[in-house]
Amino acid sequence: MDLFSKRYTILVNDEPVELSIKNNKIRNAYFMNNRMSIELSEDIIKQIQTYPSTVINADKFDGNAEFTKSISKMMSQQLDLAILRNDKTTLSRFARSGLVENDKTADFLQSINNPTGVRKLLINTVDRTNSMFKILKLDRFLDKLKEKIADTKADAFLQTFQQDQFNKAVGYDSKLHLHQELDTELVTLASNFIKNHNIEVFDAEKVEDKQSEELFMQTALRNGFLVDDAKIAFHQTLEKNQISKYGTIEDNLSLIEKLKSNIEFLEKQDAMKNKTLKDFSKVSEDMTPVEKIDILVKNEEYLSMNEAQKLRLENDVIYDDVPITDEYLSNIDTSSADMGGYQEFNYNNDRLKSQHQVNTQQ
Amino acid sequence: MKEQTIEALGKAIEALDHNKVSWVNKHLVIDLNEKATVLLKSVEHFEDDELQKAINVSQEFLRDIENVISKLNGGL
Repeated sequence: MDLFSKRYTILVNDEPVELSIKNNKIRNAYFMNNRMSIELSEDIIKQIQTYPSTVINADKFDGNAEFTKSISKMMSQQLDLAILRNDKTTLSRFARSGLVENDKTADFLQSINNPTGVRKLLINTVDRTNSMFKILKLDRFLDKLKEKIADTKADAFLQTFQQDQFNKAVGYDSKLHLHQELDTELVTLASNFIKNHNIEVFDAEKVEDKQSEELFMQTALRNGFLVDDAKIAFHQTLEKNQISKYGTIEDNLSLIEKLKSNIEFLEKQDAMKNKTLKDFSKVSEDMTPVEKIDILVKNEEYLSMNEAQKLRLENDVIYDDVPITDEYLSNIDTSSADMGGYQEFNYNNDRLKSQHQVNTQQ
Repeated sequence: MKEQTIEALGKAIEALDHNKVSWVNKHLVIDLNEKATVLLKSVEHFEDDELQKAINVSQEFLRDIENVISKLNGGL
């Protein structure tokens, strides 16, 4: 693990592309004094790091289409940005650099924007062929091709194309998609996939889960299903599995409520034994003072108290409705039969009583 | 038709050489080159309906890149 980023300079036509690399990842990239985004594979990053010097000529990567494509794309973005901002400093730097075809007889901007010029021609052709591939819905077509060939160059293109399609797939929403009707073959495919891969829950933050999702989408595409449907089928099946195993959230909430009321019932039943003052408090919750006295005089903890404590307790809990809390009980425990203890008990419980009255008024 | 398309795509791939353009345009040429390669592989490997589809797409693609090829071959 690197503690600090290391800076590397790649010279392209004598123009430096500054890269700072930490832990085999590009942290920052600067070109013509602007921070830019560059994506390079780990393999290329390793080549940069292992090069004997930190200044590397781009010629070293001659023949590496991925490197050339990334750097070229970044420069192209920088040029477009400079044109949009009318950034004359960057534009004149481009004009002098030889990174752009430049008709020296014409104005630099006119030369770039010339509709019959090479840049405009290429941009238009790439756009047209992109939409041509999209209109023909070549994703399934290309996926079939991927199965038939093992060609690195074509493979890289297919990978990117398919990844784009996956990223564009509709997000799963339980409310919208849980009951959506899907092709039964697709649902069976999803069920078998989930079963064979032992997937129980999907965590979007987990790389393995994302990989499983992608793998299923690839499988579904190969079987002729649409990317959106495949994603919905994957998550719908997972959610249905969870529901059949653990029930819906609503079911679980009503079960919790049921259990709570069962616990309350059992606690009350236990309290009916009327051993402690807490038992008394539970049993006498909704009773009138007269009914409360009947229960209190049979309470074991009450019977074990001295007369002064009994009197005080009767006043507090029967007439003044002071709740029997742990604090209240500890005051009774610490108080003794002698007057000093009794007074202290009175003082503490008077405080509790006034606090209770304030709470009740509020 | 299959052989002609393969030949035309092969020539297009050869012509779509990013070394012929400057750095800011290289990625565009590479993109077209990759598309041509994918179509070439499709025509080479597919059969029946799929082959026909691949040939149709390739013909359209070749028409689209005609101007680019002539520009690149003409020394810009």
